[in-house]
Amino acid sequence: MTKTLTLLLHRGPYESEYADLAVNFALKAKEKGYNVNLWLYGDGVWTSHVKRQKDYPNVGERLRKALKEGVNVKICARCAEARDLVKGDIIEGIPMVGLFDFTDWLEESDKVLTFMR
Amino acid sequence: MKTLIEVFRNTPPGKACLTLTKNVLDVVYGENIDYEIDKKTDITTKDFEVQMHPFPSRTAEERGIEGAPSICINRKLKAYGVISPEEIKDLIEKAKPIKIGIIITKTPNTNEDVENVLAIGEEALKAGNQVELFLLSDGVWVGKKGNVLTEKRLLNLINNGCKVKASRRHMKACGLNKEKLVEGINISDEPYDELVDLVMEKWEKVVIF
Repeated sequence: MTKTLTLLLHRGPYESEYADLAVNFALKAKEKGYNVNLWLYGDGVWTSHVKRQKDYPNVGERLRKALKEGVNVKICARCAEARDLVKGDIIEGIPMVGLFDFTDWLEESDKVLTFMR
Repeated sequence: MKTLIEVFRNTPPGKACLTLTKNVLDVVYGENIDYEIDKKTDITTKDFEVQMHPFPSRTAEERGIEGAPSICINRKLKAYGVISPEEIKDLIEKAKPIKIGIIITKTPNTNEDVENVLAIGEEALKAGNQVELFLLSDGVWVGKKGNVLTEKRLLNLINNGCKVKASRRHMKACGLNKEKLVEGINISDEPYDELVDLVMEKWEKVVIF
């Protein structure tokens, strides 16, 4: 059975390297054939707000690539709501959901990595 | 990795101590052999290392042993009295070492995190587990030679069998090279590739700081 990796990102894009670490990790694990979940939590939700072209490394673009490759990405709805992020603001195809979805992921995961503080 | 079984016995060993020794050796050899159990000292086989220690002794004190006869497996699980071979087998299963991976993403001098995570590695290693460190992102600074907080502890970990790897791309970003790192650190050219394999396949437990 395919093993599952769940990643939790609790840091915003560009304020540290954590968003890049989490997305790069997700892409590599997906490439290697694992089932990969990426949960955007706290300021991590801002990563889904990076939509336009940049002339420097673009973590939003990498996140879109991860979605295209089949990484399961979900956003904590309450964290998004607290930051006034609504559906039209974020990269298309990322569901805003409740925390129970994350605990479901925890249950089905073989390994969990958290990128926070 | 061999299972270490330490048997603590009174001097000279009484009947209970000798029965326990025999039970341990039965498990180690998997059959009933006639040993000179009162004379036997240390035994090494393919899977086991058995050490006989007097009680009281310094080793007994180090392991926190409070009486004899007793055994300590892999320096972490203790049991007292004349334990049956079945119980010994159960204990061996429970004391099996695990492979622990530690990913460090922070610098040693910003806050307490690195000090604490190194302590986790030291304790896990002391308990007989396999420990590996992976220095990622700003964590590569932990490997720098001459850092008063980390150099000694890192060398100590490496000398005790802990493998340490550092991500080359992050070293490069920080202006670090192999010469600037503590001796014994390996460098990873494909950090994400290696980490996915380590996290998903090799390491049984992962700690990320």
